[in-house]
Amino acid sequence: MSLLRNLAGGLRGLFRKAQVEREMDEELRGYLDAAMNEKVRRGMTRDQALRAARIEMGGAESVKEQIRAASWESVIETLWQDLKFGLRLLRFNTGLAAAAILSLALGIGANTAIFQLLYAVRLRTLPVKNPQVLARVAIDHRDSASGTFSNRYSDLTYAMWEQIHTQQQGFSGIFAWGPTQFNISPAGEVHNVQGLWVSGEFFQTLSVEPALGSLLLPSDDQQECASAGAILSYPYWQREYGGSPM
Amino acid sequence: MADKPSGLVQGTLDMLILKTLELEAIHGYGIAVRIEQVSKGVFQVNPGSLFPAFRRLERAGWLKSEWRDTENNRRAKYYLLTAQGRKQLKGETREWARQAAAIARILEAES
Repeated sequence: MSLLRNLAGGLRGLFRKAQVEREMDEELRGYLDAAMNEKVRRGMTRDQALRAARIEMGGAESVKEQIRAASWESVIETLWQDLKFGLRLLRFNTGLAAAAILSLALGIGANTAIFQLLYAVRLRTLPVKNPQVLARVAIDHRDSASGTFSNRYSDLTYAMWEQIHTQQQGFSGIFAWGPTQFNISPAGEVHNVQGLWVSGEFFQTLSVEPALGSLLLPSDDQQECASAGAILSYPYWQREYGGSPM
Repeated sequence: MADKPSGLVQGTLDMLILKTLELEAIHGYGIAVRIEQVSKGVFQVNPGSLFPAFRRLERAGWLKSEWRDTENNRRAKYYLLTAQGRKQLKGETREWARQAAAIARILEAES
């Protein structure tokens, strides 16, 4: 209730400023008159009384300023005035202002870009169930290991993976993956898309839910691609198939 | 004998204004005079603190104001106490009495 009244009074001060100021003037003038009349009654001349009353009041402008300062809208008013003053100063010094604004813009832009990169690469966790317990199994000193490593993420040979897959006890789940390109064009011009070969436990271990259809299961993991299937990533599905359920 | 004017104890101006308005609506000058008279000249309130206090109290919802004609047929802004202001005055008076009594007890204690 009192908050509402405070708000209403403040808004009136901001938007009906002339009227509020007029009332303030009238009130102070009334005060001055009353003080003067009182002094005349006590035997001063009019001039003396007026001067004495003015001295007592201590400057109508400063009193008005104090009244304004007692309410919240004066903060907004001061802020607005400071802002206008600041802009005027900037206009005086166009070159310096332009240089300052430009360097600020560049600085902020560069920081944003760097942060976005860092966020995508380092800070953001994978959108899977427990990203903090994921671990990668790799050979410590690969220089001395034997086997064919054909791409950037080659950590183990297939034989090693088979052994680890069947014998590991440290993890609740384990899967293998390798990056690849698929040519999905049935004929004519080659149309390559990025993809992953994954083992059957891939989606179960990561606890990923399909938006539509079903995911690969360990039972799909058979030699010679006996039951081959593919999962589309969500962005690819949206981009290439318009999100249609086919 | 009138005492020499002294500054108000901090934070008491609001209470004094509310108390002055307890019986009837008065305009700004009237309130200043009343406080000075009743305190036998000990407290003189200058407009620079009086009017900001009015605005503060009005915003807090403890005072209302309205323009009325004075006894000499001039318009003046009269202040009156709201129900909330009355409650506030009661609370502040009680608190003041408690504190004053406590201070008096400390000052009178035999050391």
